[in-house]
Amino acid sequence: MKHGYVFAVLVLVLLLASTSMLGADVVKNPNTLVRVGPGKAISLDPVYAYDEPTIELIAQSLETLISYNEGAADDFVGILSTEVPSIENGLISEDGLTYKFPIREGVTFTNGSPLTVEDVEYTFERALVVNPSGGPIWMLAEVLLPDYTAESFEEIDSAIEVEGNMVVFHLRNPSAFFLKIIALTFCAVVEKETTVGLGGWPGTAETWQDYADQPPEDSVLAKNIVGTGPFLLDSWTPGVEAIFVRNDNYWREPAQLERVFLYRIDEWMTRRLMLENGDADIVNVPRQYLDQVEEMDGVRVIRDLPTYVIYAVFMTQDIDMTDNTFVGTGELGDGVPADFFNSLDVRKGFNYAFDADAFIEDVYGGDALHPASCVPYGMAYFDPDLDPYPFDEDLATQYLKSAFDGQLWEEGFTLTVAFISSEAESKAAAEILEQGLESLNSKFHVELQPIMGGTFEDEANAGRLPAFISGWGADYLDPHNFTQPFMHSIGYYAGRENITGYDDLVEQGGAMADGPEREALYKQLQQICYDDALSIFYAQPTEWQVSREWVRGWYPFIPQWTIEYYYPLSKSAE
Amino acid sequence: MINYIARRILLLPIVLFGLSLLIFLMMQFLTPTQRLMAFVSDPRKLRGESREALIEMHGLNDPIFVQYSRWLNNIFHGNLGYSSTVSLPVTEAIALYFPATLELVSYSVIPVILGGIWLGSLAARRRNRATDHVVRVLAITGWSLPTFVAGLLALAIFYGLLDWFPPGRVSTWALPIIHEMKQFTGIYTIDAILNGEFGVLLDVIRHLIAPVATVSLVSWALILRLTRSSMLETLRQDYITTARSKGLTERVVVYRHALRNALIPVITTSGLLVASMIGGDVVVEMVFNYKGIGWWATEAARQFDFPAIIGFALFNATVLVAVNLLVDILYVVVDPRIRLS
Repeated sequence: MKHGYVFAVLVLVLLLASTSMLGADVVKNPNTLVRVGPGKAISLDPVYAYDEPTIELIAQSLETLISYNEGAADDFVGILSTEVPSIENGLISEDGLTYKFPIREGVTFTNGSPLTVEDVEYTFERALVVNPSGGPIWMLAEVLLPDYTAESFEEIDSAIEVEGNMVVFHLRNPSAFFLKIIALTFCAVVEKETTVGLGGWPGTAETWQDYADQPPEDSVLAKNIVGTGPFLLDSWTPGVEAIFVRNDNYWREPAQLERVFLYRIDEWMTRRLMLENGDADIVNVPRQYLDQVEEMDGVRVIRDLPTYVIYAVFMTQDIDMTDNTFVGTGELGDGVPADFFNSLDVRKGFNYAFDADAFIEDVYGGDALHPASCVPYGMAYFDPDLDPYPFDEDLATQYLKSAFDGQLWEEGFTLTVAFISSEAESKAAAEILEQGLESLNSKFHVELQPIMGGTFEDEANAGRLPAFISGWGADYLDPHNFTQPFMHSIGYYAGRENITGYDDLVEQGGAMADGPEREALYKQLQQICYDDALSIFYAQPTEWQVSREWVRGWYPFIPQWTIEYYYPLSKSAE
Repeated sequence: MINYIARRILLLPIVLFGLSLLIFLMMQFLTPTQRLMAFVSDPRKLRGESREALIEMHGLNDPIFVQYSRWLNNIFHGNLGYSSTVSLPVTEAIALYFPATLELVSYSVIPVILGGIWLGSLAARRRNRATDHVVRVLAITGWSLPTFVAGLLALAIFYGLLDWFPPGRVSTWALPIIHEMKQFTGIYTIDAILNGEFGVLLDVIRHLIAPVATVSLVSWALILRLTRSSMLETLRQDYITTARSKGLTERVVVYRHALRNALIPVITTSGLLVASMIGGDVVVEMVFNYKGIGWWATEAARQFDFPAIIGFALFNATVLVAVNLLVDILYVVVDPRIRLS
């Protein structure tokens, strides 16, 4: 009898083990791609597509009018628009205020309905109507509306019109980056009939305010997606997995992959083993494990992909001293005065005291660039002639000795450097600054201050943090998206640092058409940002992509986002 | 008995109310912006006016009693709120993730409790003999092995090395079938049987073995040690000596007379163990990518997803009260001398 049990257990184990050997060919599951990564998508409604997991989920099924050409930062191809507008082809008016997109014919949504020009008009009007707080639509609004939110439906209605088979956009000012915005996933086209049928905005002037600033959970498209894209979303379990199946009626050649599984797995060990065993084809790999996966057989690591993210130490001028616990006594010596960073000598001295190369080596293993100014490498009009501030103790000493007529060097300071408590890389940057400054003068004291997210935002917005560490990633690939937050008095960071005096130049750059004049202006802005040492720009990390070698056809889909686009991918050993 | 059960059930809303109030008040120690973090994916994307608008929209600046009464009102209307962690209403999130945990717990409970009781009794009967020593060493090993170490070891050996037992709940080939199947319970083994999908059943079992073994290995030691010590205590009682002197066989003495009495503390501990397991074994669920309620609750806590945190706490409290009630009833079944008065 006992032998019977043993036999039964053995049979069961063999049976179970044998299922793992099914299909153990050279390429596992050749028509199926398994993509594994952390992160959760929040909605299937494109108006909320402002984070990578959500963008990746939506971008397979919904399509934009134009798209970045295989990851190029400033080259586009027509998708639902047959042409990319330009002044040459007459689809952009001479004054740069009107853009026309001819809509492709013969395209159908996955429910069989044909794509119409009304669907496109509705998509953009709906985006401006809903325009959720904290969402991405502000980028469209900035170009199409007088303000970031519409005051009346007339503003929206007049910004987007239909002319024959073309959708026409009327811009408030000429914009060099409108096409870069239109190519982003939040501008993907939804089907009007389905959206209205589900209870979404009916497209009328009378109802627009009922749908304004709708939270994601209230959107009728939160769980419904009907697009024209190469894949249909077969099922989506939020936070767990998504299954895509090929759209065989796709207007281009159908995708080579039949199915794509997108899994969210947070535990690195699990992801690693899946990649190693060939059960996962594309995997998100934390930077510290890149060396591990590079040694794996059959795994490809593409390094040094450009990112458009800049990390900086921000220095607040005119610090708000009211009940401020971050400024010590508020005087040199045991604290910092309100105008501590109003001194150019202090800002320059701090820049020379920050060993960015050591930081990049320690934290990024060398996989980052050291930006000189506020426009990142790879961006249009980036100035390659600016050399970043080097780590130079002599120059740092020289500037800090000059500051406050020598009083700073005599009395020293106690400076609080704040960062979000969960960000280990920011802490490392604060430590580098601490070492650099404290080695110059024994009277220089830097106190590291981790602050919980939320409180950090409150304190920084109030101008109470003398120095703080954070970063900025491109929303769209234009230098205006960096000069505005870093230099405009209401910019995301410059507003916190109380930086003033550059608004006219920044606004001018944002409203100019591309060309030599604009190039000169942005070089001037970068030079100013550098000369005035507005912040300590210390790192622009590079990105990487890890997949099995049998995955073919990969390219970065949207240059500033680390997301995958499954349409061009296939799997083969050759 | 019925009165007792009714009284316990009637106490449940009071317990839940107290719990919800406690959690809600604790949350108020955070600033509105900190609580707002629950609703945004990246704080750097929030421009000043957006933040204020969002705080206003979610009523985070309202007086506490307004916020609490609004929340309570929603609860009475069956609305536990929206879990931003998984983009689902809280009730749907519980319905989605709980069956996975229940499946894991159900299969783990069998080796944990039955195996623990059997081996504990065996060790007690053969005190200080080879069997006892082996069982005790195994128990100490299991007890002292952290779950994440056991889980990662199991994953590395049985998946990384042997490719026998992969992570997740099912293989990719089975997932579309699962989605097409009629979902009766959300427990894949049961649903696969009810749908006649025996290939899927086998695949689900294959995915269950490693996490079940990990949960069992760690929890089993507790029951084993408790049973052994309780049994040893019982075997020293006079009535056991009487039973033996009456000439009853050792098997009858141990399993019919001693075990029932020895089980009282074991039942209490098992109840607590099961209740805590139903709350989800976060580590096992993370390591084996087994998305259950523990994983969801942890994610919610990490992301300040307050509706989810409160919803989970209420759900867990309900489970705890229910399991306690069950334990009390089991006392009576096992030992009729106990009266629930």
